[in-house]
Amino acid sequence: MDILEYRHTPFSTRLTDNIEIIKKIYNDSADIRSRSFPLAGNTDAFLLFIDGMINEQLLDLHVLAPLLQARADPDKIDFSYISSIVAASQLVIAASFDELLRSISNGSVALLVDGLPFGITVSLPGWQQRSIEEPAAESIIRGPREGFTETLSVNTSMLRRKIKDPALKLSSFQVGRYTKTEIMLAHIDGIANHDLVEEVTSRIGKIDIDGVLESGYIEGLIEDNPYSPFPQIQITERPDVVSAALLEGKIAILLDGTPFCLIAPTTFFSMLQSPEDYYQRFMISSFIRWLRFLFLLISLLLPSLYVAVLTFHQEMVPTSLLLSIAKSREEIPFPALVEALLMEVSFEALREAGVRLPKQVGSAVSIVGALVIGQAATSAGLVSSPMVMVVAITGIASFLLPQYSAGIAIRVLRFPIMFLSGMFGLLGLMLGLLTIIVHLCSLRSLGVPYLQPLAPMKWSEMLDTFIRGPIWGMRKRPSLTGRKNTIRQAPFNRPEQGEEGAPS
Amino acid sequence: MSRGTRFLLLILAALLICLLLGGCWDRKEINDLALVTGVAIDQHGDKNVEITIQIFIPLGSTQGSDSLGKATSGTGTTFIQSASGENIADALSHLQMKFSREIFWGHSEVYIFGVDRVKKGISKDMDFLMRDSEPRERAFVFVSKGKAKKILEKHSILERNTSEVLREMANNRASITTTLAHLQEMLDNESKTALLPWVEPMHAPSEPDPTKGVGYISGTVILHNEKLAGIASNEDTRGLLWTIDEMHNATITIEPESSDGTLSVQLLRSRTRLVPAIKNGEWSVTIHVKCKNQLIQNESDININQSSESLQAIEEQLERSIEQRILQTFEDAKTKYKADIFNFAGAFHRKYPGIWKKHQKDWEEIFPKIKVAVKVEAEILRPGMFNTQQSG
Repeated sequence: MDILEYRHTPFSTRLTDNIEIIKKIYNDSADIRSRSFPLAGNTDAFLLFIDGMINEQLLDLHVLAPLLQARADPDKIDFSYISSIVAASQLVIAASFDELLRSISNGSVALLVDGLPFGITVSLPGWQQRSIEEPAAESIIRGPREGFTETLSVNTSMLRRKIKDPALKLSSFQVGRYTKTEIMLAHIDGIANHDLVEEVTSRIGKIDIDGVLESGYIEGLIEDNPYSPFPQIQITERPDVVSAALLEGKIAILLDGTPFCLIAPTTFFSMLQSPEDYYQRFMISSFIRWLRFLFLLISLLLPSLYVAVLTFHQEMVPTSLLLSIAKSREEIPFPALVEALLMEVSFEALREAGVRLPKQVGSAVSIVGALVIGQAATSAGLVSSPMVMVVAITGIASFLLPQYSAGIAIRVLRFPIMFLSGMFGLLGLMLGLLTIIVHLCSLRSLGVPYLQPLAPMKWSEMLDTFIRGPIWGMRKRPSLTGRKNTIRQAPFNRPEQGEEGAPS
Repeated sequence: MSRGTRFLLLILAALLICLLLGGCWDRKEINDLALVTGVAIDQHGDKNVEITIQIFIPLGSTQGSDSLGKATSGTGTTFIQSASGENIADALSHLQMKFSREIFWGHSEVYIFGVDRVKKGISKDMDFLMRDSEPRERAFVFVSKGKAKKILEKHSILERNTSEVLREMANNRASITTTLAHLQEMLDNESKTALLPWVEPMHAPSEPDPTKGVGYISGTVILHNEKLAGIASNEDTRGLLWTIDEMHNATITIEPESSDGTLSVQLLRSRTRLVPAIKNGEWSVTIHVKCKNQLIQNESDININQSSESLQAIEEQLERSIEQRILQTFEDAKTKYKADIFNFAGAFHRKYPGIWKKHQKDWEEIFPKIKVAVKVEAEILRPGMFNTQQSG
């Protein structure tokens, strides 16, 4: 018989039969620990768990010891008797082998008793896990410093600590034929659009794949347009970001085994927003948002603009600037396009290397890289110094986008535009830009237009797009995700100016 | 690989090749350009034209440390090259043969006509400058004393080159400034009179090297019907600037009647309006000048005080001084240049389009008979903190 088929065989009342099936299923796997013992001194019982998955101290003290020390008639031993003597909170009947195996894989101890046609699982998870740390990729100055970990239950507890109302609903799925990864779908009942929840549920339900190791698998399998460089699902490690998204009526997907949580639907402009925008004073945040818009354009277009203007439209450069550029370019052997490609490619390589390098080598390589890209390339006469500046500013600009995945999209798109502008000048640059804009207009994230609220235009939501309005001014939720329950705060939340001398 | 994907790949490759083949054909690297900083247009012989261009030499100094030894300012950053031909386009093609790089006019902001060329008429040259796509229409135009080439030959000490000197002078708007587009407009306007700055070469003092020096603006060239009508002095130029509302920098010095010594005021801002009128067949123009000034030097012993009558007296004298300057210029325009340099014609055209159409042909006779009245309102806004002359 095939292993898979054993799973669906019913439990026998004879313990030896059940043990035989389990042994066949696990096929003497080396990390399986089991023990036979007499329950209450007279009934055969069998314990099975996976090494390292459970807390063995608790098992000995609160499960094994009471079971061994109990005294009872064999015919009185049933589930209610066992649950009355075992000091563990989660004691569940597993009606099929399939259920039993699932619990064992999630850190439970399986208990089989002679005469009982079911298994009992005692949840005693005790595996090693990372402690809660500050997310490395999304660091902020003001705001909570906790980030998700690889353990799903820790992550959901963090969410629950932020949103305490029972309206926060978490539904569980299992995905992956072999990994059996647990997935939690979180939404707030009463805010989130139910059609949206159903849509995500059905998309996840359709997934049939060997394994899901990271949320990227799910992202790739449920997004609307797989042929797009732009991420249509937001990724975050921060519970506060997830909570804010849930309160806007979005849906969060948490995965066991990764700290990265998915948020959908999302828009292009939320890629340009950092959680810190909402923790700082609104004028400062608005300024920083504009800065991001500016540097988004710089990151995408600056090298292309430089190449286009220098090879096709010399008359557009201010005279004195052109003269100094001409001076520095005089000994450069390459055309401007090649020069730009050379620098951009080596910068991207350096950056990628910086991510992969072992920490001990990292600093050495970054010093060498800085020298090669900056100092040495110019003094060797390979690259002009204005180009070094352009590349440096572009490099910095791509880090200004708070969403790393959006930053990568922009970085990749920079290269085709560079080619276009090297061949057709500003015409090519505009061609590339228009193509990107048209593509962005056609994108959807779970049916929500990607460029919302710019296209389709929603004036009321501009307040939270191009500027960050004051908290008390944003009374409504985003219309496309929070349609059911639009008002999110009481009117007149704006602080009144206090009277002089009045008690505060 | 299925047939479909192979077909798609083929199309993709074809598109990519189209892109690569179509691109780059009009690519020009900066290294392949000879950047023109200034152009001089001179009469050559009886019929031909001589073009002189000033070319920027990009001293290859990619590194800051390398350039320390090289002279990057003053001398050596530009050189000139001339060629002659039947017209500018012809001369230019001869000029291009002398260059290893393509001549690029896009950054030439200075065009200097030699006075001899202007005497022959500049409309033919203007046709090229306005028609060709490379010359900037916002470039400044000058007329030089003697050959225009001489101005470009000089080496400036302060600025990057002599063209830059002229450009900066024009930018300061201390005198008449004319761009190519503006010149074309003036050549076509009602009075058929164009004004151009007059440039004279100047040797740099205490410099043994005779090539050191610049050209500087010292008057106005008046073109009437595309021919040289005269060269206005600096005094007439100032009267002209007041009238055509182009006065931006002025320091007016007067000698107060009531006391010895002089008194200078600096112009802060001014506004001039021409009000033409035709009454009983008599054509007249009233020039309203409103200007605000600040007192910058008081040599006299007059007590300056905002409320005192002395300030008013000074203001009145200021007004008379400006009025006289304008009237004198009008007098010279009638007698010396015989041209409507103020473009009164335009003002009449705008106000009386019907009458203008009838009398358009007789303008040359009407202009000298026009009655001109000048009304000046001069105000001294900032007499300064001291009431009387400061001494010791």
